[in-house]
Amino acid sequence: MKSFDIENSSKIKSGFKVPDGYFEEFNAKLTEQLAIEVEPKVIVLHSRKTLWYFAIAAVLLVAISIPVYQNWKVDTSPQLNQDEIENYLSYHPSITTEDLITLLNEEDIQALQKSKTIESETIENYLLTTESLEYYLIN
Amino acid sequence: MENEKVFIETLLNPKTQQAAFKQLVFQYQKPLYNHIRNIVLNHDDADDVLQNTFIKVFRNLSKFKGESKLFSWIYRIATNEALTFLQQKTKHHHSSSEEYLQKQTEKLHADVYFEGDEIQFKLQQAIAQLPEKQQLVFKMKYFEEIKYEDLSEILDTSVGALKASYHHAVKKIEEYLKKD
Repeated sequence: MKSFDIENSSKIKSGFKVPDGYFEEFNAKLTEQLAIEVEPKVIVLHSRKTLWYFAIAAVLLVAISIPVYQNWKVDTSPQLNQDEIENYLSYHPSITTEDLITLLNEEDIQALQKSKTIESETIENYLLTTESLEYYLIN
Repeated sequence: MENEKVFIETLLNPKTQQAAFKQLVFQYQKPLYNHIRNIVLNHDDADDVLQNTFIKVFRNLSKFKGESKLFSWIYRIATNEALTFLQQKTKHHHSSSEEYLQKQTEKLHADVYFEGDEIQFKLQQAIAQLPEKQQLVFKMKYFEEIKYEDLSEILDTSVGALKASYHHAVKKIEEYLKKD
């Protein structure tokens, strides 16, 4: 068995060899790679993919805006006027005179008394044409 | 040190960066190639790792704060790249890094880019028997002659631990070489 002192013997080299011209080639390859690194990334706006995104977005926008527009139209339609309300109340079978009376307050009743002065002739005509006149006169 | 400070400033300045980086590549490509080749053994693998190292150095220039020497910082990146490469290879081959390197060493006889004689080949075989960290310390100290202080900065290990690691490596290699 031979003794071997690695630190005091002559240096043993690794034995690796570099191919001829390797570092020149490496430099060229690295420069190319670094150029890609430095180059700012370009975002293509008109790619096919982007156009599809815009088309889908437009369809969605239209689809959403139709119901919104419809609701907007209902909200902005003119307010119901007084005559329309009166007509509705007059001809609607489910609303009775009693229902209306319960909704009137003291001021409303006074206003009605002032505005509706009935002529004595009109009362006479009414009493003459009403079947229950006799009943009223007797009692 | 003052020169290094000025050089780092030119590396960080966008106007002078490209020229300064070319200079850096020129200065470091040969020693870094040897460093990486010693770790991964094969030329093509060393080529890939060297390229990745310089790209990583370029990308991270702005993060270099000058807390360590530029030399140590670049060597640390190169070492990490080489070790990561080995990890990927061992994962792929389902083996340990030592087993992988032993197989790679056996292939050196047929490698056109290995011109070592019998003793050089024997030394490579002896190194391949060591644990990964001892291999690394031995290669950097023996082949590349890097000072312990610099090794400490690169490998983030105390000088004492590095000396002990190198001493163990030398003993094991001498034992291996004595066998024949």
